Order: sequence, then C-alpha cells, then structure tokens
Amino acid sequence: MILFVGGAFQGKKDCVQGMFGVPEERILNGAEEGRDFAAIDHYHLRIRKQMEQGLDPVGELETLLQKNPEVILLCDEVGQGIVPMEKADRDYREAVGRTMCVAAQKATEVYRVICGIAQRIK
Amino acid sequence: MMILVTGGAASGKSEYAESLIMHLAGDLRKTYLATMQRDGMEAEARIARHHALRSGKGFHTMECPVSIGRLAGRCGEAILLECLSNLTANEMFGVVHADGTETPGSEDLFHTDTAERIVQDVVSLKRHARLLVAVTNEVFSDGLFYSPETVQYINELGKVNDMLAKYSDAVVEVVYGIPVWKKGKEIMRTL
Repeated sequence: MILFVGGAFQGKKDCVQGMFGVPEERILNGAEEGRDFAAIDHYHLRIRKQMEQGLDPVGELETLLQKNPEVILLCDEVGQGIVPMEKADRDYREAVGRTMCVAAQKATEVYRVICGIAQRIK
Repeated sequence: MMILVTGGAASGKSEYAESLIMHLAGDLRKTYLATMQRDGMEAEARIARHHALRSGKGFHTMECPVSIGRLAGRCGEAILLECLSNLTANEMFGVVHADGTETPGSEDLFHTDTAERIVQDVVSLKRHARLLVAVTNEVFSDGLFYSPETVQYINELGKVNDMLAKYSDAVVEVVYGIPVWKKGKEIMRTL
C-alpha cells in the first residue's frame, strides 16, 4: 500500500495520477464501493462513514489491505486545528489520526502533499 | 539537549517523543511532566492511554497544569513535557485542580506575556536538566473562524512554538508516526 496525506485541496489526486498513472475510473471516492479500483481518494470520508455505521476504522483498514495490498490511499490530514467543541467531531479527528498512524506504519511508501508537491517521508 | 516535538491531533507525536527520550536518556532519571488538567471522562481516557504507553518504562510522573517553572530542579535529569498546548490554554483560561481549588487565567487575555512566561518556565526546567523533550501541537491549519479569545490562544501557542524552536537543538514534526525533521536532524545519528 502507498499512502498520500496532506491538507485538503493540495493536489493529492493529481500527484497519484501523475506518479502512478492511475486512471480516473480506477479511483474510488470516499465510502464509494462496488467497482474495480487501484486507489481510494478522500479516505477520511470513508472513516467517517464507518464510524456512522458503528464499525472500527482500524479493523476496516486491515481488512481492506488484506484484500488489496497494492492499493493507494489518499487521506486529508484533519488534526491540525483547535480541538472541536462537539464530541463527535473530536472522535472523528481522533479516528482519522489513529487509523492513519496504522496506515503509515503498514505503507511501503508515504507521501505528504503540500501545494501540489509530494514529498516522500517514508 | 532540548527537542521540540510537534504534530496534529492523534498524529503519533506522544509515542514518538517517548521513543526519543527512551533512546537518548540512557541512565538519566526520567520525569514525565503532564500539564493536562483532569476535567472529565475524556481527559481521564487520554491520561489512561498515555499512562499505558509509558508503563514499565521507568518514568516518574508529575502533574503540573500551570507555572511549571516552579518544578525546575525538582524533576529527573531527563524530562518529557507534555504538552505545551494544554499548558498555554491553562495559563490563559485558568484551571480547576484535582482538589477542587482553582487557578484563574490571565486577567486580560489580549495584553499578556503568556508565551514569554511559558518559554521562561521551560527554559528554567531545561537549565536544571540534561535532556528535555517538549511536546506541542499543530493547531494552526483548520482555517476556521474562532472567537477573539481562541484566536489569541492560537497566537500565543504559535509564539511559544516559535520561541522554543529557537532554543531547541532539534525540532521534529510527527506525521502519522513518521518523523519529519525541521531542525537538528543530526542528533539522530547519535541514536
């Protein structure tokens, strides 16, 4: 698995397409399912959906990786702000962080994208 | 030596800071200096999680939510300070202590020397120790609009981070458990 993280709207998907030649139709968006894919964009939205469904995002990630060890994941970094007032928002932020810590550990390559530039950090 | 560790929420910065001190402290006595106030279930859960991470690693824990400078010379020679974002909030907005007593925050949030005082406190802790690893937080990038008090808090924490980075031998941002060095990466060669 290869992981791309970074703030919102930093050009993560363009980087993935440019570097790995993944065609648009093979990129799932967020919680989308049901077709052949090489990459999942907006993985944070997938985590949000899993939480709404009462699923464990770390467990879900592990299952995904068992079935798709070569997948490319793209996820927003959502933890770099003031602690949210709402507990649900705090829990979401925490879940994205903890899940991405596991993802980064399992990834063979990790890129961080800022201003459309991907910096390899692992 | 002083190392500043920063990162967003749930970025793995605590674990990384702890691994740094475990590598660097050697035989030094280790103190975990906790600044989080105990103010409810979520705080207790966080404290319990951090406690579990450190258990069996030989840390002596001290809790001090404000004015940490008074502990200078009373900690071990290796200090893990966690974290500056809580400390800054406590200094500005006040704390309720475990025994029910209160320390009020700044009288005038907009004309304070909060950041300078915190930095002085950290520097005096450092002066009495051999190794200080301080954990802070990236709270600067959600792009939302907040009350003037919260904006002032963000500003003060930014100043704390900037000033402490200057005093630090090394500064590292942790991105989901991965260290991204901003300064002083050479210290890692000694590990």
